[in-house]
Amino acid sequence: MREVVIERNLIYLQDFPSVRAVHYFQQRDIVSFLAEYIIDWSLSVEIKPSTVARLSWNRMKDVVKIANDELLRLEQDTKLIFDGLDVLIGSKGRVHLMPNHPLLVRYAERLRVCLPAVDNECNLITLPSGNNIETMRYDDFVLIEAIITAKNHALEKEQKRNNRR
Amino acid sequence: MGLFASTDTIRLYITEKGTVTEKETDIWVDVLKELPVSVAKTLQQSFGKPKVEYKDGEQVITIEDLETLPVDFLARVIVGWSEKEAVTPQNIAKMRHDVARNLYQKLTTIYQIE
Repeated sequence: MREVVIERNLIYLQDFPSVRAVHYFQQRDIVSFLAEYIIDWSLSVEIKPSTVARLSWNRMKDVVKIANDELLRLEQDTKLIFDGLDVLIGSKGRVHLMPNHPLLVRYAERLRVCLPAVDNECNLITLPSGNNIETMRYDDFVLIEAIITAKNHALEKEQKRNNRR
Repeated sequence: MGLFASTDTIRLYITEKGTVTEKETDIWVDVLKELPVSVAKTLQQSFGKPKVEYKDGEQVITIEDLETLPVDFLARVIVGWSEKEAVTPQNIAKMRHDVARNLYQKLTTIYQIE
């Protein structure tokens, strides 16, 4: 979790917004979004939509900006993620990405957790984060999607090659 | 100052020409001093769904209904006024457009809304 201090109050946020938080964010339901995104705080009240609704927007918009910037960066990296993983997985180790490739620089840590979560038949066998799909980190969700797409693509190429023989 | 929005109000005066002024007049509205997150949500959902495009690596957001005044938002921030009728979205919608527009612009300054 990440820590933010606002008006001398500690607020603990998800490391990366979850799938459910992003759903609320995209619906522009910032009350439900903040209630999901904030996992703990130093206030003596429960974190729930009715409490979050009463918070000052001026003091909370920096929290929303943190999530917005991260989601924007992920959105801009989507093509990089899908193309990079297609090369990495499709080549079966014949092609290596340079260590300073943006995909590895930005996502190596999450790839370490996400790559083993998908088996060779493109099944999600374990969750890289969270207790279910909705509570999974959204960046993990995108990475898993890209891994499954790349593995499916590699399988199709393999099948075509085998059919030709 | 904590994290919660203050429930205090401030009084804004309206001139005959429809502009917002600090000078006392017979026409006034009392608005929330601070914007709670719930009202910010009402404002964000007031406008139509934005269209997101990328130009030169920059995100450009177009909101089609930008000219429409957010009546529900105004009904939530206005807690009282000099009129006899209650502050409701239906009565806000009957306001003079120039008054409502000037009031909204003043509120965006007070609440630091972009």
